[in-house]
Amino acid sequence: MTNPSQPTSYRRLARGTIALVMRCSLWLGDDHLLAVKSTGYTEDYTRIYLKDLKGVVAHRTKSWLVANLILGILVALLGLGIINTDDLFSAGTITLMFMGSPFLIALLINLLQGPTCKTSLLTPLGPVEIPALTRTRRVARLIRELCPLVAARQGSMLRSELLNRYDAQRSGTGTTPTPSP
Amino acid sequence: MAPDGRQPFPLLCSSCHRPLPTEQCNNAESFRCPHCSVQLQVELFPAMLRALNEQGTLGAVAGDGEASCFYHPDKQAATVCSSCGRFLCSLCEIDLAGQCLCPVCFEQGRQSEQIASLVNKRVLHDSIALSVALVPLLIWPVTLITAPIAFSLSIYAWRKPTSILRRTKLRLLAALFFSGVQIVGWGVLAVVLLQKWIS
Repeated sequence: MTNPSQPTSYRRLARGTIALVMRCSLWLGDDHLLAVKSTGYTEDYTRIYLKDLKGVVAHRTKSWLVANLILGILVALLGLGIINTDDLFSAGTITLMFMGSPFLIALLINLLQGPTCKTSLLTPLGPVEIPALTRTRRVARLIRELCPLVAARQGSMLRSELLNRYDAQRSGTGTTPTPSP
Repeated sequence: MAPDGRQPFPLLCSSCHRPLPTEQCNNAESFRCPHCSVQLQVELFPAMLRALNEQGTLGAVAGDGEASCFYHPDKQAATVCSSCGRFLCSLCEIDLAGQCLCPVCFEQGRQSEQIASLVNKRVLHDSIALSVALVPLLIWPVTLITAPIAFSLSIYAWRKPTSILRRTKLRLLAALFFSGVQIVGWGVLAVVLLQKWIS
């Protein structure tokens, strides 16, 4: 049991930026997730308690593809420029290499990080968007990490049972009692 | 809607906001939304089965000789406030990080920011002090004004609550150091100029 007047220790799960200005991050506390939006001088906190967490929904965005396309074209153009020069160690070639290497590094990092997505956590008050979770790979890792923690607070249930009961509720035939935390 | 009148929590596509089928959920693999064809990954937890308009109970009526709620004398006491020890009915109890608080203690804790789990915004005075100490160096004559401000801001911020995340006093120490150096620098310059003027 945690004391509400005592500071909680947090572990960072993800971090990112919003419009390259604001920083955002997701932290795991004893019994809740903490979404932080920071301007550098102020921090806004949103707590999502694990006992209330209803689900995670992530949808893929086209940012990854677009970024790969733009960076790929730039790297290809600069690469063509380098190939077409006669002297590999001329000032022009070195300048092209110097200009192209940041794009190549960015392309490789983007490829390694995997597809982008927008993630929402389903809470009793509705979906809460988490800007720190922008990669599908990270979302999958978060889900793997959250499953046992949520099961400890909400009780574990078979996938088929959970989905059947939810479908029954949606179709209006549900008579089974809802679980309590 | 369920036969008991409770509305189930909606499962919607986060892109087109239309209802999603559940067959592909909790599958660890992505699937396409049948409406907008966007690729989705959905994981549902048992709390999803709690209805949208699920609320707390109003509490049982107190009988003769039974402890009653401090705020609702006609209601049976269900628990005790962890802070003030008053008896509370199930309507008044506020569950917070495993502890039970009455509405008054909850509000007092929220206003005084004593309950860390109720803080939803913090000003990072240490970052402000460091910026005030360092950024004006770009136009250094301005530091004549900003250095004392940064120094006093650092002292003011020393006891102020900072981020609820782990954070050291390093920024404040740096702000104190840099603003202190600037103040000393201006002091030395003033003495040198004064000596020159006298001689």
